[in-house]
Amino acid sequence: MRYAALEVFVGLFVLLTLLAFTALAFQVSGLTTFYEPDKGYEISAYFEEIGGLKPRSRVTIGGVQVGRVESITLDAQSFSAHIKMNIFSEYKNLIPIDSSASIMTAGLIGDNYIVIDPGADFETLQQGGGIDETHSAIILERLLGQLIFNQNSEDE
Amino acid sequence: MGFLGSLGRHILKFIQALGFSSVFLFQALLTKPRLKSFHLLLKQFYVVGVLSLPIIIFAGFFVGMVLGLQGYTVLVKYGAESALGQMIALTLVRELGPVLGGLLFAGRACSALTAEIALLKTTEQLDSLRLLGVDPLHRVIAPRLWAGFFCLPMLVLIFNAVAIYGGYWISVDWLGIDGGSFWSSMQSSVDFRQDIINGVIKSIVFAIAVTWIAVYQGYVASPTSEGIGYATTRTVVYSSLVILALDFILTAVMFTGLK
Repeated sequence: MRYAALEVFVGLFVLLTLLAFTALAFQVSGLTTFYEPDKGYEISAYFEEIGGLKPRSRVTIGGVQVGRVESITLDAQSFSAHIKMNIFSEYKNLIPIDSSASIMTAGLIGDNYIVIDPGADFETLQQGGGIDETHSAIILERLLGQLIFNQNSEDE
Repeated sequence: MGFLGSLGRHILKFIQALGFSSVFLFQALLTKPRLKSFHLLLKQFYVVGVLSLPIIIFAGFFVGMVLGLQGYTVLVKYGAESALGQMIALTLVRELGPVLGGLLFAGRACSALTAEIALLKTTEQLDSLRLLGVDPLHRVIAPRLWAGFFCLPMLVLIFNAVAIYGGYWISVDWLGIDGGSFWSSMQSSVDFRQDIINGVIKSIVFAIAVTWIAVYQGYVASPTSEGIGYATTRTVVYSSLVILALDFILTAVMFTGLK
């Protein structure tokens, strides 16, 4: 009886640890590689400049998250960034084929994320589709540089 | 000459203790585990692990809530309060979880280990075991070492999870941050291998260090009532300092190259 009670307590302890580990793996670090019921579909876009965009950044329409960035690679021919995005399956047949995508920053110093501005076409993006019109991330230093350059040329 | 002499004596004593404790650790760990002694290990898991759970859960919950409140007051100035989840999770998983968990474990479990072993020595129970032909390293020391090695990483995982939910409660239900952005900012910045697994590795290193110190200090304590007190104090002081020093080294190795 004494050992049985000990075993129950130690078993509960181990169970609690497993629960904590699962919470940390899935809820906190967003690990979804082994377990992904919602596979969604993949679309891609080319951006000239992505700023601080990272894999697993948010993809939104009107502020609502509709997917996340799957991979970021450099296209060797155009030197632009090739972004693959995974869109959740509940948003299937929703995004018009003439939509545009831009990279925004949350707040002044927040994370970068992708905003899709829906177009008007009746045809929608499917698995493997691409967004043609993209707007690069705004880099603050570059903007400041342009401002100073314009100022100088006005003075002359 | 007197000063130099005593300095040299202290250094020699330290090196000797290091050598003896290493041999002691390996001898205790290399004893052949027997199925018959499984209940000894189970008992230590209960004493070291289960009995430390309340303090770990309580402390974790409050640490998470404080992180939420403090982080909010700073982040809201920059309009970046949606990054609160990310801040709480990264701070906890990388640093506070292993370090605070380790310090609490040193105070709660390691001090008890030292006092118990030192008392066994003072009351000559370790010697009686030897007379009976039972190796105290195998029967007394080894189960406590193994229990310590496993329990601290487990407790740290529980600490982290409880603290993050404590932070969630404060941020979302009290401060009114959007729950979705709390989790999504966390998920887009916490990496499973770089953050969670590195945190677990940290806690395993701390577990080995503090349990080793605790068991060794108990084993070499001078067999008087005063000696037990000194040994317990030394355990808590040394383990806390070792945790903080090791944490600096591990952080420098693991996290300096990360964004």
